[in-house]
Amino acid sequence: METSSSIVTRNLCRTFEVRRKSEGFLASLKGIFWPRSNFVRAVSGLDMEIQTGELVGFLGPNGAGKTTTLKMLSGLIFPTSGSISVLGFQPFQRDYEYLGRISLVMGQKQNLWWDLPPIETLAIHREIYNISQAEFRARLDELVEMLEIVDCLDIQARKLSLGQRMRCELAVALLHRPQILFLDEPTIGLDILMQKRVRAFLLNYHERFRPTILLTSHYMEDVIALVQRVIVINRGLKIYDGTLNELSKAARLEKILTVTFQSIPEGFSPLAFGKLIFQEGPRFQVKIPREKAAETASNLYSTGKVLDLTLEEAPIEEVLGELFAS
Amino acid sequence: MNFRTFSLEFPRHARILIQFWKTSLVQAMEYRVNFMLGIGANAIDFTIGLVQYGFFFSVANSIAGWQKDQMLAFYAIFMTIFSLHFIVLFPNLEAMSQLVNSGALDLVLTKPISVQFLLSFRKLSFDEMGSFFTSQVLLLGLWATGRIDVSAQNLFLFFGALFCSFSFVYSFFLFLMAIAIRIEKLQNMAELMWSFFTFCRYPVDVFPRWVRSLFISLIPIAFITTIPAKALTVGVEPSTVIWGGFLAVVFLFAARFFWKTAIASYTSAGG
Repeated sequence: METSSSIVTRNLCRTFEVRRKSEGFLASLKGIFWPRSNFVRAVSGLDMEIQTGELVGFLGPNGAGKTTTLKMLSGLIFPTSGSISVLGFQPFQRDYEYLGRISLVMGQKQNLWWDLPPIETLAIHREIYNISQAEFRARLDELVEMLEIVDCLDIQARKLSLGQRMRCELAVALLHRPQILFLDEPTIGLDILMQKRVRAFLLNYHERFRPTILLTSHYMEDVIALVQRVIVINRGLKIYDGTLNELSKAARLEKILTVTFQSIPEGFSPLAFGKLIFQEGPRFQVKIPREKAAETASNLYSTGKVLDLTLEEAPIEEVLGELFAS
Repeated sequence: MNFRTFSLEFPRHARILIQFWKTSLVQAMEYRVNFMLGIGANAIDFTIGLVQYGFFFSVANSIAGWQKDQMLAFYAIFMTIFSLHFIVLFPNLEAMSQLVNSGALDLVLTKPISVQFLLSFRKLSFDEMGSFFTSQVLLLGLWATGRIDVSAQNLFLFFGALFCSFSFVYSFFLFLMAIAIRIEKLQNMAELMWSFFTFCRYPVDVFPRWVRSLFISLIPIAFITTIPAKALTVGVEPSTVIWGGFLAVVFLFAARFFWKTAIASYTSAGG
Protein backbone atom coordinates (compact mmCIF):
# COMPACT_ATOMS: atom_id res chain seq x y z
CA MET A 1 0.00 0.00 0.00
CA GLU A 2 1.28 3.48 -0.91
CA THR A 3 3.06 5.40 1.80
CA SER A 4 1.47 8.74 0.86
CA SER A 5 -2.02 7.35 1.36
CA SER A 6 -3.41 7.81 4.85
CA ILE A 7 -6.55 5.77 4.24
CA VAL A 8 -6.78 2.71 2.00
CA THR A 9 -9.67 0.27 1.80
CA ARG A 10 -9.87 -2.72 -0.50
CA ASN A 11 -13.07 -4.60 -1.22
CA LEU A 12 -14.47 -3.46 2.13
CA CYS A 13 -17.77 -5.08 3.09
CA ARG A 14 -19.99 -4.90 6.12
CA THR A 15 -23.16 -6.90 6.61
CA PHE A 16 -25.60 -6.44 9.51
CA GLU A 17 -28.15 -8.87 10.82
CA VAL A 18 -31.43 -7.00 11.15
CA ARG A 19 -34.26 -8.29 13.32
CA ARG A 20 -37.71 -8.24 11.70
CA LYS A 21 -40.94 -7.93 13.64
CA SER A 22 -44.47 -7.99 12.32
CA GLU A 23 -47.18 -5.81 13.76
CA GLY A 24 -49.28 -6.80 16.77
CA PHE A 25 -49.10 -8.60 20.09
CA LEU A 26 -49.14 -12.17 18.75
CA ALA A 27 -46.35 -11.37 16.31
CA SER A 28 -44.33 -9.89 19.18
CA LEU A 29 -44.92 -13.03 21.26
CA LYS A 30 -43.92 -15.23 18.34
CA GLY A 31 -40.82 -13.08 17.83
CA ILE A 32 -39.58 -13.93 21.31
CA PHE A 33 -39.43 -17.66 20.55
CA TRP A 34 -38.86 -17.65 16.79
CA PRO A 35 -37.05 -14.43 15.97
CA ARG A 36 -36.92 -13.51 12.30
CA SER A 37 -33.99 -11.67 10.85
CA ASN A 38 -32.31 -11.01 7.56
CA PHE A 39 -28.93 -9.74 6.48
CA VAL A 40 -28.42 -6.28 5.09
CA ARG A 41 -25.25 -5.39 3.26
CA ALA A 42 -24.42 -1.83 4.39
CA VAL A 43 -21.09 -1.55 2.57
CA SER A 44 -20.30 -3.62 -0.47
CA GLY A 45 -16.78 -3.95 -1.91
CA LEU A 46 -15.64 -0.39 -1.22
CA ASP A 47 -12.24 0.55 -2.68
CA MET A 48 -10.99 3.91 -1.53
CA GLU A 49 -7.66 5.66 -1.25
CA ILE A 50 -7.19 9.02 0.46
CA GLN A 51 -3.88 10.87 0.41
CA THR A 52 -2.33 12.42 3.49
CA GLY A 53 -3.69 15.91 4.10
CA GLU A 54 -6.64 15.55 1.71
CA LEU A 55 -10.08 16.87 2.64
CA VAL A 56 -12.57 14.51 1.02
CA GLY A 57 -16.34 14.63 0.98
CA PHE A 58 -18.04 11.29 1.50
CA LEU A 59 -21.53 11.59 0.11
CA GLY A 60 -24.60 9.49 -0.33
CA PRO A 61 -28.29 9.37 0.56
CA ASN A 62 -29.53 8.10 3.95
CA GLY A 63 -28.64 4.44 4.43
CA ALA A 64 -25.95 4.55 1.74
CA GLY A 65 -23.29 3.19 4.12
CA LYS A 66 -21.38 6.40 4.87
CA THR A 67 -21.56 6.23 8.66
CA THR A 68 -20.91 2.47 8.64
CA THR A 69 -17.74 3.13 6.64
CA LEU A 70 -16.65 5.86 9.06
CA LYS A 71 -17.28 3.49 11.96
CA MET A 72 -15.11 0.82 10.34
CA LEU A 73 -12.36 3.35 9.63
CA SER A 74 -12.39 4.58 13.21
CA GLY A 75 -12.28 1.04 14.64
CA LEU A 76 -15.78 1.02 16.10
CA ILE A 77 -16.96 -1.98 14.15
CA PHE A 78 -15.32 -4.86 12.35
CA PRO A 79 -15.57 -5.22 8.60
CA THR A 80 -17.25 -8.44 7.46
CA SER A 81 -14.58 -8.81 4.79
CA GLY A 82 -12.01 -6.80 2.88
CA SER A 83 -9.12 -4.77 4.24
CA ILE A 84 -8.60 -1.35 5.80
CA SER A 85 -5.38 0.47 6.47
CA VAL A 86 -5.43 3.87 8.15
CA LEU A 87 -2.00 5.39 8.84
CA GLY A 88 -0.71 1.85 8.42
CA PHE A 89 -2.94 0.50 11.21
CA GLN A 90 -5.86 -1.87 11.08
CA PRO A 91 -8.46 0.24 12.88
CA PHE A 92 -10.50 -2.61 14.41
CA GLN A 93 -7.45 -3.69 16.42
CA ARG A 94 -7.96 -0.46 18.38
CA ASP A 95 -4.27 0.11 18.93
CA TYR A 96 -3.80 2.98 21.41
CA GLU A 97 -1.24 4.57 19.11
CA TYR A 98 -3.78 4.55 16.30
CA LEU A 99 -6.64 5.86 18.43
CA GLY A 100 -4.35 8.64 19.66
CA ARG A 101 -3.91 9.84 16.09
CA ILE A 102 -7.54 9.98 14.98
CA SER A 103 -10.68 11.77 16.00
CA LEU A 104 -14.31 11.11 15.26
CA VAL A 105 -16.85 13.92 15.41
CA MET A 106 -20.50 12.94 15.10
CA GLY A 107 -22.93 15.80 14.78
CA GLN A 108 -25.62 13.93 16.68
CA LYS A 109 -23.50 12.48 19.48
CA GLN A 110 -21.52 14.28 22.10
CA ASN A 111 -18.24 13.99 23.94
CA LEU A 112 -19.01 16.76 26.39
CA TRP A 113 -20.15 15.90 29.90
CA TRP A 114 -23.69 17.20 29.99
CA ASP A 115 -23.68 18.60 33.53
CA LEU A 116 -20.21 20.09 33.42
CA PRO A 117 -18.55 23.04 31.68
CA PRO A 118 -16.55 22.06 28.56
CA ILE A 119 -13.29 22.94 30.30
CA GLU A 120 -13.76 19.84 32.53
CA THR A 121 -14.18 17.57 29.49
CA LEU A 122 -11.10 19.17 27.95
CA ALA A 123 -9.13 18.48 31.15
CA ILE A 124 -10.12 14.79 30.96
CA HIS A 125 -9.04 14.64 27.33
CA ARG A 126 -5.70 16.19 28.26
CA GLU A 127 -5.09 13.17 30.52
CA ILE A 128 -6.45 10.63 28.02
CA TYR A 129 -4.14 11.90 25.28
CA ASN A 130 -1.22 12.49 27.64
CA ILE A 131 -0.79 16.15 26.74
CA SER A 132 1.55 18.20 28.94
CA GLN A 133 0.07 21.13 30.84
CA ALA A 134 2.01 23.71 28.81
CA GLU A 135 1.05 22.11 25.50
CA PHE A 136 -2.56 21.84 26.66
CA ARG A 137 -2.64 25.55 27.48
CA ALA A 138 -1.14 26.51 24.10
CA ARG A 139 -3.46 24.26 22.07
CA LEU A 140 -6.49 25.30 24.06
CA ASP A 141 -5.74 29.01 23.57
CA GLU A 142 -5.36 28.40 19.85
CA LEU A 143 -8.62 26.44 19.52
CA VAL A 144 -10.54 28.85 21.72
CA GLU A 145 -9.45 31.71 19.49
CA MET A 146 -10.19 29.88 16.24
CA LEU A 147 -13.58 28.61 17.42
CA GLU A 148 -14.49 31.74 19.36
CA ILE A 149 -15.55 29.83 22.45
CA VAL A 150 -13.89 31.83 25.17
CA ASP A 151 -17.27 32.58 26.77
CA CYS A 152 -18.49 28.98 26.64
CA LEU A 153 -15.75 27.11 28.50
CA ASP A 154 -17.06 27.63 32.01
CA ILE A 155 -20.77 27.18 31.34
CA GLN A 156 -22.48 23.79 31.83
CA ALA A 157 -22.68 22.00 28.47
CA ARG A 158 -26.43 21.55 28.80
CA LYS A 159 -26.86 25.34 29.04
CA LEU A 160 -24.97 26.04 25.80
CA SER A 161 -26.70 26.59 22.48
CA LEU A 162 -26.36 23.86 19.84
CA GLY A 163 -23.85 25.98 17.91
CA GLN A 164 -21.73 26.66 20.99
CA ARG A 165 -21.84 22.98 21.93
CA MET A 166 -20.73 21.91 18.46
CA ARG A 167 -17.80 24.30 18.53
CA CYS A 168 -16.81 23.00 21.98
CA GLU A 169 -17.15 19.44 20.64
CA LEU A 170 -14.69 20.36 17.90
CA ALA A 171 -12.27 21.77 20.47
CA VAL A 172 -12.45 18.49 22.43
CA ALA A 173 -12.01 16.40 19.27
CA LEU A 174 -9.03 18.42 18.04
CA LEU A 175 -7.18 18.92 21.31
CA HIS A 176 -4.76 16.06 20.58
CA ARG A 177 -4.10 17.31 17.01
CA PRO A 178 -5.38 14.21 15.22
CA GLN A 179 -3.75 13.29 11.92
CA ILE A 180 -7.04 11.84 10.72
CA LEU A 181 -10.37 13.49 11.33
CA PHE A 182 -13.64 11.74 10.61
CA LEU A 183 -16.46 14.27 10.51
CA ASP A 184 -19.94 12.78 10.42
CA GLU A 185 -22.42 15.58 9.69
CA PRO A 186 -20.70 18.20 11.83
CA THR A 187 -23.16 20.97 10.90
CA ILE A 188 -26.39 19.01 11.33
CA GLY A 189 -29.11 20.99 13.08
CA LEU A 190 -27.14 24.26 13.12
CA ASP A 191 -28.59 27.48 11.77
CA ILE A 192 -27.16 28.90 8.55
CA LEU A 193 -24.91 31.41 10.30
CA MET A 194 -23.46 28.78 12.61
CA GLN A 195 -22.97 26.36 9.69
CA LYS A 196 -20.88 29.05 8.00
CA ARG A 197 -18.77 29.59 11.11
CA VAL A 198 -18.11 25.88 11.51
CA ARG A 199 -17.20 25.60 7.82
CA ALA A 200 -14.87 28.59 8.04
CA PHE A 201 -13.21 27.05 11.08
CA LEU A 202 -12.74 23.68 9.38
CA LEU A 203 -11.18 25.30 6.32
CA ASN A 204 -8.88 27.39 8.49
CA TYR A 205 -7.94 24.39 10.65
CA HIS A 206 -7.22 22.20 7.64
CA GLU A 207 -5.08 24.90 6.04
CA ARG A 208 -3.09 25.36 9.23
CA PHE A 209 -2.55 21.75 10.36
CA ARG A 210 -3.22 19.71 7.19
CA PRO A 211 -4.96 16.71 8.81
CA THR A 212 -6.56 14.16 6.52
CA ILE A 213 -10.31 14.78 6.73
CA LEU A 214 -13.15 12.58 5.62
CA LEU A 215 -16.42 14.49 5.81
CA THR A 216 -19.98 13.31 5.45
CA SER A 217 -22.76 15.85 5.19
CA HIS A 218 -26.23 16.22 3.78
CA TYR A 219 -25.66 19.96 3.41
CA MET A 220 -24.33 20.62 -0.05
CA GLU A 221 -23.03 24.01 1.14
CA ASP A 222 -20.58 22.06 3.36
CA VAL A 223 -19.41 20.01 0.41
CA ILE A 224 -19.05 22.93 -1.96
CA ALA A 225 -17.28 25.12 0.60
CA LEU A 226 -14.92 22.51 2.00
CA VAL A 227 -13.94 19.79 -0.45
CA GLN A 228 -12.45 19.41 -3.89
CA ARG A 229 -12.73 15.65 -4.07
CA VAL A 230 -15.85 13.63 -3.38
CA ILE A 231 -16.54 9.94 -3.03
CA VAL A 232 -20.17 9.10 -3.60
CA ILE A 233 -21.70 5.85 -2.40
CA ASN A 234 -25.16 4.46 -2.73
CA ARG A 235 -26.49 1.21 -1.24
CA GLY A 236 -22.97 0.42 -0.07
CA LEU A 237 -21.46 0.74 -3.53
CA LYS A 238 -19.06 3.44 -4.70
CA ILE A 239 -20.59 5.21 -7.66
CA TYR A 240 -18.24 8.14 -8.07
CA ASP A 241 -14.75 9.16 -6.96
CA GLY A 242 -13.27 12.38 -8.32
CA THR A 243 -13.29 16.14 -8.12
CA LEU A 244 -16.45 18.04 -7.44
CA ASN A 245 -16.10 19.85 -10.78
CA GLU A 246 -15.76 16.62 -12.73
CA LEU A 247 -18.80 15.25 -10.92
CA SER A 248 -20.79 18.24 -12.12
CA LYS A 249 -19.59 17.81 -15.68
CA ALA A 250 -19.99 14.05 -15.72
CA ALA A 251 -23.42 13.91 -14.22
CA ARG A 252 -25.04 17.17 -15.25
CA LEU A 253 -26.88 16.69 -18.46
CA GLU A 254 -28.48 20.09 -18.28
CA LYS A 255 -27.56 23.72 -17.70
CA ILE A 256 -29.66 26.52 -16.30
CA LEU A 257 -30.21 29.39 -18.69
CA THR A 258 -31.64 32.65 -17.36
CA VAL A 259 -32.54 35.30 -19.90
CA THR A 260 -34.06 38.76 -19.48
CA PHE A 261 -35.44 40.49 -22.60
CA GLN A 262 -35.93 44.19 -23.24
CA SER A 263 -39.15 43.04 -24.91
CA ILE A 264 -40.11 39.45 -25.54
CA PRO A 265 -39.33 38.57 -29.20
CA GLU A 266 -42.33 37.70 -31.33
CA GLY A 267 -43.07 33.99 -31.39
CA PHE A 268 -40.64 33.26 -28.53
CA SER A 269 -41.49 30.10 -26.62
CA PRO A 270 -39.16 28.94 -23.83
CA LEU A 271 -40.45 25.39 -24.26
CA ALA A 272 -38.71 25.30 -27.63
CA PHE A 273 -35.36 25.38 -25.79
CA GLY A 274 -35.95 23.17 -22.78
CA LYS A 275 -37.90 22.80 -19.52
CA LEU A 276 -39.30 26.06 -18.13
CA ILE A 277 -38.36 26.63 -14.48
CA PHE A 278 -40.06 30.01 -14.05
CA GLN A 279 -41.21 33.12 -15.88
CA GLU A 280 -41.51 36.62 -14.39
CA GLY A 281 -42.51 39.13 -17.07
CA PRO A 282 -39.67 39.32 -19.60
CA ARG A 283 -37.42 37.08 -17.41
CA PHE A 284 -37.28 33.33 -18.13
CA GLN A 285 -35.34 30.49 -16.57
CA VAL A 286 -35.07 27.21 -18.47
CA LYS A 287 -33.18 23.95 -18.16
CA ILE A 288 -31.49 23.13 -21.45
CA PRO A 289 -29.39 20.18 -22.66
CA ARG A 290 -25.69 20.85 -21.97
CA GLU A 291 -24.68 20.29 -25.64
CA LYS A 292 -27.19 22.87 -26.86
CA ALA A 293 -26.27 25.58 -24.33
CA ALA A 294 -23.86 27.59 -26.52
CA GLU A 295 -26.05 27.39 -29.62
CA THR A 296 -29.17 28.45 -27.69
CA ALA A 297 -27.39 31.44 -26.13
CA SER A 298 -26.12 32.52 -29.54
CA ASN A 299 -29.61 32.23 -31.09
CA LEU A 300 -31.12 34.32 -28.30
CA TYR A 301 -28.48 37.04 -28.63
CA SER A 302 -29.13 37.13 -32.38
CA THR A 303 -32.69 38.38 -31.70
CA GLY A 304 -31.09 41.65 -30.51
CA LYS A 305 -33.55 41.87 -27.61
CA VAL A 306 -31.53 40.26 -24.82
CA LEU A 307 -30.87 42.49 -21.79
CA ASP A 308 -29.11 39.88 -19.74
CA LEU A 309 -28.25 36.19 -20.19
CA THR A 310 -26.53 33.75 -17.82
CA LEU A 311 -25.67 30.07 -18.11
CA GLU A 312 -25.16 28.18 -14.84
CA GLU A 313 -24.47 24.64 -13.74
CA ALA A 314 -27.40 22.80 -12.16
CA PRO A 315 -27.25 22.69 -8.31
CA ILE A 316 -25.09 19.88 -6.89
CA GLU A 317 -28.11 18.51 -4.97
CA GLU A 318 -29.81 17.83 -8.28
CA VAL A 319 -26.67 16.29 -9.71
CA LEU A 320 -26.41 13.91 -6.78
CA GLY A 321 -30.11 13.20 -6.96
CA GLU A 322 -29.69 12.16 -10.58
CA LEU A 323 -26.67 10.04 -9.70
CA PHE A 324 -28.53 8.20 -6.93
CA ALA A 325 -31.58 7.74 -9.14
CA SER A 326 -29.48 6.20 -11.88
CA MET B 1 -3.81 -5.85 27.11
CA ASN B 2 -0.87 -8.01 28.25
CA PHE B 3 0.96 -7.57 31.58
CA ARG B 4 3.77 -5.48 30.08
CA THR B 5 1.36 -3.08 28.39
CA PHE B 6 -0.69 -2.96 31.58
CA SER B 7 2.32 -2.01 33.73
CA LEU B 8 3.33 0.67 31.19
CA GLU B 9 -0.18 2.02 30.89
CA PHE B 10 -1.10 1.85 34.59
CA PRO B 11 0.26 5.30 35.63
CA ARG B 12 -1.56 7.02 32.75
CA HIS B 13 -4.79 5.16 33.50
CA ALA B 14 -4.45 6.04 37.21
CA ARG B 15 -4.09 9.74 36.31
CA ILE B 16 -7.12 9.53 34.02
CA LEU B 17 -9.12 7.83 36.76
CA ILE B 18 -8.22 10.57 39.26
CA GLN B 19 -9.24 13.21 36.71
CA PHE B 20 -12.56 11.41 36.13
CA TRP B 21 -13.23 11.17 39.86
CA LYS B 22 -12.39 14.85 40.33
CA THR B 23 -14.88 15.57 37.57
CA SER B 24 -17.48 13.38 39.30
CA LEU B 25 -16.95 15.38 42.48
CA VAL B 26 -17.34 18.64 40.56
CA GLN B 27 -20.52 17.20 39.06
CA ALA B 28 -21.84 16.26 42.50
CA MET B 29 -21.08 19.79 43.71
CA GLU B 30 -23.19 21.20 40.89
CA TYR B 31 -26.16 19.74 42.77
CA ARG B 32 -25.06 20.46 46.33
CA VAL B 33 -28.44 20.03 48.04
CA ASN B 34 -29.01 16.68 46.34
CA PHE B 35 -25.49 15.66 47.37
CA MET B 36 -26.03 16.53 51.05
CA LEU B 37 -29.50 14.92 51.10
CA GLY B 38 -28.02 11.77 49.55
CA ILE B 39 -25.36 11.49 52.24
CA GLY B 40 -27.95 12.12 54.95
CA ALA B 41 -30.40 9.56 53.50
CA ASN B 42 -27.62 7.00 53.34
CA ALA B 43 -26.64 7.46 56.94
CA ILE B 44 -30.31 7.11 57.95
CA ASP B 45 -30.68 3.96 55.83
CA PHE B 46 -27.66 2.48 57.57
CA THR B 47 -29.06 3.33 61.00
CA ILE B 48 -32.45 1.76 60.18
CA GLY B 49 -30.66 -1.47 59.24
CA LEU B 50 -28.82 -1.33 62.54
CA VAL B 51 -32.05 -0.81 64.49
CA GLN B 52 -33.56 -3.83 62.66
CA TYR B 53 -30.75 -6.03 63.95
CA GLY B 54 -31.33 -4.53 67.40
CA PHE B 55 -34.98 -5.73 67.24
CA PHE B 56 -33.94 -9.23 66.09
CA PHE B 57 -31.54 -9.61 68.98
CA SER B 58 -34.01 -8.31 71.53
CA VAL B 59 -36.00 -11.55 71.01
CA ALA B 60 -33.19 -14.00 70.11
CA ASN B 61 -29.61 -14.59 71.28
CA SER B 62 -28.34 -15.65 67.87
CA ILE B 63 -29.44 -15.96 64.25
CA ALA B 64 -28.33 -19.19 62.53
CA GLY B 65 -25.40 -19.38 64.94
CA TRP B 66 -24.37 -15.74 64.58
CA GLN B 67 -24.05 -13.80 67.85
CA LYS B 68 -25.07 -10.14 68.04
CA ASP B 69 -21.56 -8.64 67.69
CA GLN B 70 -20.68 -11.04 64.87
CA MET B 71 -23.89 -10.09 63.15
CA LEU B 72 -23.08 -6.40 63.50
CA ALA B 73 -19.65 -7.04 61.95
CA PHE B 74 -21.41 -8.94 59.17
CA TYR B 75 -23.74 -5.99 58.64
CA ALA B 76 -20.79 -3.54 58.52
CA ILE B 77 -19.04 -5.72 55.92
CA PHE B 78 -22.22 -6.11 53.87
CA MET B 79 -22.73 -2.34 53.90
CA THR B 80 -19.09 -1.74 52.96
CA ILE B 81 -19.39 -3.92 49.86
CA PHE B 82 -22.93 -2.80 49.10
CA SER B 83 -22.03 0.92 49.37
CA LEU B 84 -18.81 0.50 47.38
CA HIS B 85 -20.93 -1.05 44.65
CA PHE B 86 -23.24 1.96 44.76
CA ILE B 87 -20.34 4.42 44.88
CA VAL B 88 -18.26 2.92 42.05
CA LEU B 89 -20.09 0.35 39.96
CA PHE B 90 -23.79 1.23 39.95
CA PRO B 91 -23.43 4.78 38.50
CA ASN B 92 -21.35 3.30 35.69
CA LEU B 93 -23.89 0.54 35.08
CA GLU B 94 -26.59 3.21 34.82
CA ALA B 95 -24.43 5.39 32.57
CA MET B 96 -23.78 2.40 30.33
CA SER B 97 -27.46 2.18 29.48
CA GLN B 98 -27.42 5.84 28.47
CA LEU B 99 -24.23 5.41 26.44
CA VAL B 100 -25.54 2.43 24.49
CA ASN B 101 -28.97 3.90 23.82
CA SER B 102 -27.70 7.33 22.75
CA GLY B 103 -24.88 5.89 20.67
CA ALA B 104 -22.33 7.93 22.67
CA LEU B 105 -20.50 4.65 23.31
CA ASP B 106 -19.10 5.15 19.80
CA LEU B 107 -17.08 8.12 20.98
CA VAL B 108 -15.80 6.28 24.07
CA LEU B 109 -14.58 3.41 21.90
CA THR B 110 -12.41 5.75 19.84
CA LYS B 111 -10.34 6.86 22.85
CA PRO B 112 -6.83 5.47 23.42
CA ILE B 113 -7.70 3.96 26.78
CA SER B 114 -8.92 0.63 28.13
CA VAL B 115 -12.65 0.76 27.42
CA GLN B 116 -13.41 -1.73 30.18
CA PHE B 117 -11.51 0.39 32.67
CA LEU B 118 -13.07 3.63 31.52
CA LEU B 119 -16.64 2.35 31.53
CA SER B 120 -16.28 0.50 34.83
CA PHE B 121 -14.85 3.25 36.98
CA ARG B 122 -15.22 6.65 35.36
CA LYS B 123 -18.15 7.79 37.49
CA LEU B 124 -18.39 7.93 41.25
CA SER B 125 -21.51 8.54 43.25
CA PHE B 126 -20.29 10.54 46.24
CA ASP B 127 -23.68 10.85 47.87
CA GLU B 128 -23.55 7.10 48.60
CA MET B 129 -20.54 7.64 50.87
CA GLY B 130 -22.73 8.00 53.97
CA SER B 131 -23.23 4.22 54.27
CA PHE B 132 -19.59 3.48 53.55
CA PHE B 133 -18.20 5.71 56.27
CA THR B 134 -20.79 4.73 58.89
CA SER B 135 -20.06 1.05 58.27
CA GLN B 136 -16.31 1.71 58.75
CA VAL B 137 -17.07 3.50 62.01
CA LEU B 138 -19.16 0.51 63.17
CA LEU B 139 -16.43 -1.99 62.25
CA LEU B 140 -13.72 0.04 63.95
CA GLY B 141 -15.97 0.57 66.97
CA LEU B 142 -16.56 -3.21 67.31
CA TRP B 143 -12.83 -3.85 67.10
CA ALA B 144 -11.77 -0.96 69.40
CA THR B 145 -14.21 -2.00 72.13
CA GLY B 146 -13.03 -5.59 71.92
CA ARG B 147 -16.42 -6.93 70.83
CA ILE B 148 -14.71 -8.69 67.94
CA ASP B 149 -11.30 -10.20 68.52
CA VAL B 150 -9.22 -10.14 65.36
CA SER B 151 -6.09 -12.30 65.08
CA ALA B 152 -3.38 -11.67 62.48
CA GLN B 153 -4.35 -14.85 60.60
CA ASN B 154 -8.02 -13.86 60.59
CA LEU B 155 -7.13 -10.42 59.32
CA PHE B 156 -5.03 -11.94 56.55
CA LEU B 157 -7.85 -14.32 55.54
CA PHE B 158 -10.35 -11.47 55.80
CA PHE B 159 -8.48 -9.39 53.23
CA GLY B 160 -8.14 -12.46 51.00
CA ALA B 161 -11.89 -13.08 51.29
CA LEU B 162 -12.59 -9.39 50.68
CA PHE B 163 -10.56 -9.55 47.46
CA CYS B 164 -12.69 -12.55 46.36
CA SER B 165 -15.83 -10.65 47.27
CA PHE B 166 -14.90 -7.59 45.17
CA SER B 167 -13.85 -9.86 42.31
CA PHE B 168 -17.23 -11.64 42.26
CA VAL B 169 -19.20 -8.40 42.43
CA TYR B 170 -17.07 -6.89 39.67
CA SER B 171 -17.40 -10.02 37.49
CA PHE B 172 -21.17 -9.93 37.82
CA PHE B 173 -21.13 -6.21 37.04
CA LEU B 174 -18.98 -6.80 33.95
CA PHE B 175 -21.33 -9.56 32.74
CA LEU B 176 -24.22 -7.10 32.98
CA MET B 177 -22.26 -4.38 31.17
CA ALA B 178 -21.51 -6.84 28.36
CA ILE B 179 -25.17 -7.89 28.19
CA ALA B 180 -26.11 -4.20 27.97
CA ILE B 181 -23.97 -3.88 24.84
CA ARG B 182 -25.55 -6.95 23.30
CA ILE B 183 -29.19 -6.23 24.06
CA GLU B 184 -28.96 -2.42 24.10
CA LYS B 185 -31.32 -2.19 27.07
CA LEU B 186 -30.22 -2.25 30.67
CA GLN B 187 -32.98 -1.26 33.07
CA ASN B 188 -33.70 -4.86 34.16
CA MET B 189 -30.00 -5.63 34.39
CA ALA B 190 -29.53 -3.03 37.12
CA GLU B 191 -32.46 -4.62 38.99
CA LEU B 192 -30.79 -8.03 38.66
CA MET B 193 -27.77 -6.60 40.46
CA TRP B 194 -30.09 -5.43 43.22
CA SER B 195 -31.61 -8.94 43.60
CA PHE B 196 -28.12 -10.36 43.72
CA PHE B 197 -27.38 -8.21 46.77
CA THR B 198 -30.62 -9.24 48.47
CA PHE B 199 -29.17 -12.75 48.83
CA CYS B 200 -26.05 -11.26 50.43
CA ARG B 201 -27.88 -9.26 53.08
CA TYR B 202 -28.02 -12.21 55.51
CA PRO B 203 -25.43 -14.91 56.28
CA VAL B 204 -25.83 -17.96 54.01
CA ASP B 205 -26.25 -20.01 57.23
CA VAL B 206 -29.90 -18.88 57.32
CA PHE B 207 -30.56 -20.89 54.13
CA PRO B 208 -31.16 -24.70 53.97
CA ARG B 209 -28.05 -26.88 53.73
CA TRP B 210 -28.33 -27.58 49.98
CA VAL B 211 -28.70 -23.87 49.14
CA ARG B 212 -25.69 -23.11 51.33
CA SER B 213 -23.61 -25.72 49.47
CA LEU B 214 -24.70 -24.21 46.18
CA PHE B 215 -23.74 -20.70 47.36
CA ILE B 216 -20.26 -21.87 48.36
CA SER B 217 -19.40 -24.28 45.57
CA LEU B 218 -21.01 -22.91 42.39
CA ILE B 219 -22.82 -19.59 42.77
CA PRO B 220 -20.42 -17.63 44.97
CA ILE B 221 -23.01 -15.74 47.05
CA ALA B 222 -21.34 -16.87 50.28
CA PHE B 223 -18.07 -15.24 49.28
CA ILE B 224 -19.64 -11.80 48.91
CA THR B 225 -20.34 -11.14 52.60
CA THR B 226 -20.62 -14.30 54.71
CA ILE B 227 -17.06 -15.61 54.24
CA PRO B 228 -15.33 -12.21 54.76
CA ALA B 229 -17.44 -11.62 57.89
CA LYS B 230 -16.71 -15.11 59.20
CA ALA B 231 -13.01 -14.69 58.42
CA LEU B 232 -12.90 -11.54 60.52
CA THR B 233 -15.03 -12.65 63.47
CA VAL B 234 -14.67 -16.40 64.01
CA GLY B 235 -12.13 -17.38 61.35
CA VAL B 236 -12.45 -19.68 58.33
CA GLU B 237 -10.40 -22.51 56.91
CA PRO B 238 -7.67 -21.16 54.59
CA SER B 239 -8.84 -23.74 52.03
CA THR B 240 -12.22 -21.94 51.86
CA VAL B 241 -10.52 -18.66 50.93
CA ILE B 242 -8.24 -20.46 48.45
CA TRP B 243 -11.31 -22.02 46.80
CA GLY B 244 -12.92 -18.57 46.72
CA GLY B 245 -9.76 -17.15 45.14
CA PHE B 246 -9.81 -19.85 42.48
CA LEU B 247 -13.49 -19.24 41.71
CA ALA B 248 -12.88 -15.46 41.67
CA VAL B 249 -10.12 -15.79 39.06
CA VAL B 250 -12.33 -18.07 36.93
CA PHE B 251 -15.23 -15.60 37.15
CA LEU B 252 -13.00 -12.62 36.32
CA PHE B 253 -11.57 -14.34 33.25
CA ALA B 254 -15.02 -15.49 32.11
CA ALA B 255 -16.45 -11.98 32.55
CA ARG B 256 -13.50 -10.44 30.72
CA PHE B 257 -13.93 -12.90 27.84
CA PHE B 258 -17.67 -12.19 27.67
CA TRP B 259 -16.98 -8.44 27.71
CA LYS B 260 -14.41 -8.66 24.91
CA THR B 261 -16.80 -10.71 22.80
CA ALA B 262 -19.56 -8.15 23.37
CA ILE B 263 -17.28 -5.26 22.37
CA ALA B 264 -16.16 -7.16 19.26
CA SER B 265 -19.77 -7.76 18.24
CA TYR B 266 -20.83 -4.17 18.95
CA THR B 267 -22.68 -2.82 15.94
CA SER B 268 -23.34 0.72 17.18
CA ALA B 269 -26.64 2.55 16.75
CA GLY B 270 -27.78 3.60 13.28
CA GLY B 271 -25.53 4.15 10.38
